[in-house]
Amino acid sequence: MFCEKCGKEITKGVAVCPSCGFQPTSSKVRLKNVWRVTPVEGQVPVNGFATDCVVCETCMHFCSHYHEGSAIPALSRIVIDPTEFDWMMHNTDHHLVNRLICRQCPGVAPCMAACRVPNAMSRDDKTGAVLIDDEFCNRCRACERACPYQALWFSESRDRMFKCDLCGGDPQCVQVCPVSCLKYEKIA
Amino acid sequence: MQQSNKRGGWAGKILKIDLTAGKVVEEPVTDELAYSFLGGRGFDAKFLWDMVRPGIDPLAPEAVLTLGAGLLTGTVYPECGRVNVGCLSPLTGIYGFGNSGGWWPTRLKAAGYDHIIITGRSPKPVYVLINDDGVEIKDAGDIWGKTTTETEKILRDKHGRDVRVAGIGPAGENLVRTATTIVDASYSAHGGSGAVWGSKNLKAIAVTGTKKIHIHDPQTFYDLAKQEIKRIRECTRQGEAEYKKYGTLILYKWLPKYVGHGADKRYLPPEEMDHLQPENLFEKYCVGYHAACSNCQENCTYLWEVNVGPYAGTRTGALRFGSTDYMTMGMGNANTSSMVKFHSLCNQYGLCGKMAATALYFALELYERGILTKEDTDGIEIKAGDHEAIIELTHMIALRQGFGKILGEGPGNMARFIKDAYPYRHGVYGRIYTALLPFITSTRGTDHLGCLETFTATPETRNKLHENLVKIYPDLGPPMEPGIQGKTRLMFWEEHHKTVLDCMGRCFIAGGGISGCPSIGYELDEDPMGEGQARLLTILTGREFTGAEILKAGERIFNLERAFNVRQGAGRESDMAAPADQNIQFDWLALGKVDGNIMRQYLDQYYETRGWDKDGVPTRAKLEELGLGYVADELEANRPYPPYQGPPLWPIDKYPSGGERTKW
Ligand code: SF4
Ligand code: SF4
Ligand code: SF4
Repeated sequence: MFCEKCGKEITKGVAVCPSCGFQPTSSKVRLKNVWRVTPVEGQVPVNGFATDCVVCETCMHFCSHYHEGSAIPALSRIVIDPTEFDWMMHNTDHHLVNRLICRQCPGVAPCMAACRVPNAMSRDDKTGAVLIDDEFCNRCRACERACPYQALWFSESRDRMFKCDLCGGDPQCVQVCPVSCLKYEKIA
Repeated sequence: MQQSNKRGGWAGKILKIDLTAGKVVEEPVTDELAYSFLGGRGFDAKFLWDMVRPGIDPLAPEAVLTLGAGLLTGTVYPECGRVNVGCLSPLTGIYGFGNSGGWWPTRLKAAGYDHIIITGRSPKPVYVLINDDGVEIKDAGDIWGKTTTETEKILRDKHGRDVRVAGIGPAGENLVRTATTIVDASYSAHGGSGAVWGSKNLKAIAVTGTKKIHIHDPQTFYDLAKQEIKRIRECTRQGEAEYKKYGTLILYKWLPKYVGHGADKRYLPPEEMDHLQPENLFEKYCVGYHAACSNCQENCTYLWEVNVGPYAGTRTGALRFGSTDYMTMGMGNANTSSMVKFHSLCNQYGLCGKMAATALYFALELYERGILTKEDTDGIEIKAGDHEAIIELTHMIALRQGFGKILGEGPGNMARFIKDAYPYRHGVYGRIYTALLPFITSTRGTDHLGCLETFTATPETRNKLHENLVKIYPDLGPPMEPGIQGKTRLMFWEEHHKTVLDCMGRCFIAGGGISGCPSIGYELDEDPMGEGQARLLTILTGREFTGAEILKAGERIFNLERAFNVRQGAGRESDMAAPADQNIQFDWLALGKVDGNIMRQYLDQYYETRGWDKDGVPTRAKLEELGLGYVADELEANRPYPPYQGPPLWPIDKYPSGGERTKW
């Protein structure tokens, strides 16, 4: 694991970081070494916005196959939600797509702060991704309500929470997007 | 007939909806059905053969509408997000099918169904909702009369963001024969099928779901899908890059150099063609990207907006060459904003752009010949290049008003309403289209989608393909020499290849560019029998496939479709292009001039290659070889069928009509 303050590698379970003297208070707070997948600012200007996403759902197919064993768009951890119908009907002036994906909020993530169940949520050692452990999670959905980005949700049919886990550091969606409009980056 | 649990790829269930009784039944996909007919177009052929009695009215309750996702649709394999729609076509009176992209097809598989079969007629307008809770037939009172975009929007707002919608617009409700099924508000399948939805009082099918499809070897399959993405990205075939950039609109650049395309007579003069060049269209109207189908790498469609002029405010998606060529080049119309408007109207009303425009094109020809006059057309003068008249008439077609009632019967059927028009009719089976040799043998009437390689590939590709193909078919003729000798063998192979792609749900553009070799996981010219595809299917399904066996399935499906048409009265006489179209200046297959005589010779040679008799009827030997003995039995017992006359038409005032003019 890594030190939450300076980001240097430390052995799991140590009380004090040998490099900076930081005392890890909780495995939930992570200030350094947090990665995320995020939309790339696009090339095509549209009424002042810019987007490259072509609503092909390739990311959704690969994400769901990678995690669920078969392509089921509704069970993807990234959701591409077209809004072009509103645009065509002149309800909106732009046809940006909604992209719902977890920001892996550094520091205290709102979803984790809302979670009252011990061990249900943690940070991935390698990527800092916010993870949910289905064994401990009691499906109260407090995290879902707390997330400001609608980036995690509950699936009735699978009876568990769905959120991006960064594929353990090998994000599939980024690799298959035909217009390279997703990137994998270190945010903190 | 048993169904093995371990079979991968198919969702495994067929949904049968009887709208008269409001009953829904699920049936398993048997091994026999799955392995003989693959899926998509193949299932359509089988169901329509089994369920449609010859000679019925395509708009009667006993008619059948089938919609089905391909075998690879709803998997992670790229560029396979397509649905096949099939029916006895009210437009042509023969087998009708169309293949459409969109997001809807993958949702159908995720809902746990390979195919939907719709029969009967609901007493009142309904839509069908399919989700994890089951299948529900719901009242469509509040969406009946709405445009396709409104319908999609309303149903998604109501049933959740993952819901996708296929359905019809006002044109389908008014039983316009050129109406089509519109998938996800932008993509069209088979002009003609829209009226069948309307005749069943069915407005839309909204689908979502989270069912898992079994895959025999998910890890290898996943790796192959990623490999295919790599292959597609690295593809350098001629046209691939341009296609990615412009979609099918690139054809405005490429095709005019082929004499004989489309409506040669009213070709726009070269200087006016400039407006239609894709660069110019893009600069003027394109406002952003928007790819077509689920899980596609090509991003070939865009969003369009007109900002100035009489059509300002028009916003639409998925503008295509195929939906606009006749209304521009054919009608001598260089006003490009009207082209965007026309396309938008077709999408919103649920009209097939091609069929609606060819009806207008035919009307223009008749008007110029003096067969139609102002009295017939409600005072609208139909002149070449008059875009206002075109747009006005498009509204009238969709709402079945005035002269639009006759136009709405479709390009082929119009001649039956207009005195003296018959000698000037075009196409084969009522589809107006240049009657090139490779186009006339399609099982749905003149159509280019059976035969892309034969004319769009580069000479090198064609030669290489020939080299490999001649090892399997020794009677194959040289590809680059004029004449028809041995060319029917190429069509034989290619029609099967294309049929298989339709069964897989694979796009025809995928990984080969528009000028190359659409194929699944292999380079077509190196592996024409598709062994690569067979390996993929083996990994997906867990059953050993060979390339030859898959192509054989293509042949089986093609023959079944033909047999369906034979039952509808098709034969050598009706296979010939209309007399007005028997003079082709340059044919892409024969590489030279073609007249009625050559066309007849070609058909004879084609029937022989296919193992059909002199009248184009599949022989018992052929059908039995394909495992279609029951088809031979039925044909033998009932032939001769009454000769093809076109679909039975209703009295022109008996159709529903009216509705709101869309402002979009
Ligand atoms: S789920 Fe929401 S709150 Fe939690 S880390 Fe992701 S974006 Fe932040
Ligand atoms: S990084 Fe992985 S889990 Fe997250 S959205 Fe992409 S594919 Fe899904
Ligand atoms: S793969 Fe890329 S372009 Fe396609 S929907 Fe996802 S983010 Fe958009």
